[in-house]
Amino acid sequence: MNDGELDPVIHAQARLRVVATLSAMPNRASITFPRLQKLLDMTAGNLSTHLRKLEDAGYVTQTKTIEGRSPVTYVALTPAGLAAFERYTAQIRSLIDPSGEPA
Amino acid sequence: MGDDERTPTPEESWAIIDAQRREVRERLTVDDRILYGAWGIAWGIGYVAMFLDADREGMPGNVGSAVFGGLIVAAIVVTIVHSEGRAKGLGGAAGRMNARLGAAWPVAFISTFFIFGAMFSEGLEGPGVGIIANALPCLVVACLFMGSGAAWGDRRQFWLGIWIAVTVSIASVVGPPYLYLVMAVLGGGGFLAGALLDHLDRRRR
Repeated sequence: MNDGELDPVIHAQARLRVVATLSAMPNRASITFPRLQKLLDMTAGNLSTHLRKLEDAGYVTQTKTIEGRSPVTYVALTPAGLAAFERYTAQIRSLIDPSGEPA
Repeated sequence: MGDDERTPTPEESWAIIDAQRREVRERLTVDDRILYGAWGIAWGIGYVAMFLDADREGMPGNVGSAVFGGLIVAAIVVTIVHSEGRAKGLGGAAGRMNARLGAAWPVAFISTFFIFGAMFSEGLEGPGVGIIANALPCLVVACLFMGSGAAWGDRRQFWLGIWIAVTVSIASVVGPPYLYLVMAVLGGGGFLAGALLDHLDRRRR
């Protein structure tokens, strides 16, 4: 991606919320789909759609496991996703305040 | 897709990032003010109750022990309910580490109960029993705090572990009944100081 252009995968309201949330997980933990859905207050279908787009870009992993008898999906940001988000926040910060002062 | 695909202005983006970070902090991370506060109150009041109810040999009576025991049980319940609630749904390496460190607590405490049982069945009596009965579980707390603090890079928890080890050392040397006063002031005070420092950190953010 060249200079000032914002990453279109992240620069959309719903996906920015998803990525910002995943980037803030305590100790880089992953999170179950239902807990993430509740945290973001999105519908399951809507969240799935955005997660798929993030997964296609290599920014997010979805890991399916069995806990007890029920399947559980854990969602986490990949290192590439975290790097892209950090690049995005740095760009946003410089757009808000070009002098480079922390926003 | 409507609103979802709308591209926010830089200011809106910043507000979204900020809001999500706050949301995660408020709903998924443990609030040390609650945990340290609960333990500070339990130790602060519980140990004073044992000190006031101690007999001439320094052994606490039934009332003091009951007040202490009740407060400790309450603090354990607060700890489990709060940390389980915040960590619910978290997985990966951090989730597994959290679960294992969580399991270390009951394992260590059950072990101390067996040691106490063995001590009493051997007929051990006197102030020495009071010192060991206090020191053993406190040392478990100190070691697990140091370990957890090191594992998570939580300096405050690590130092609180060291502080508790120092406190229990001083209290053991002092012996009953002043042992209980040392635990209340230094131990309970240490937890409350931890809660206060966490509160000041949060206000600064």
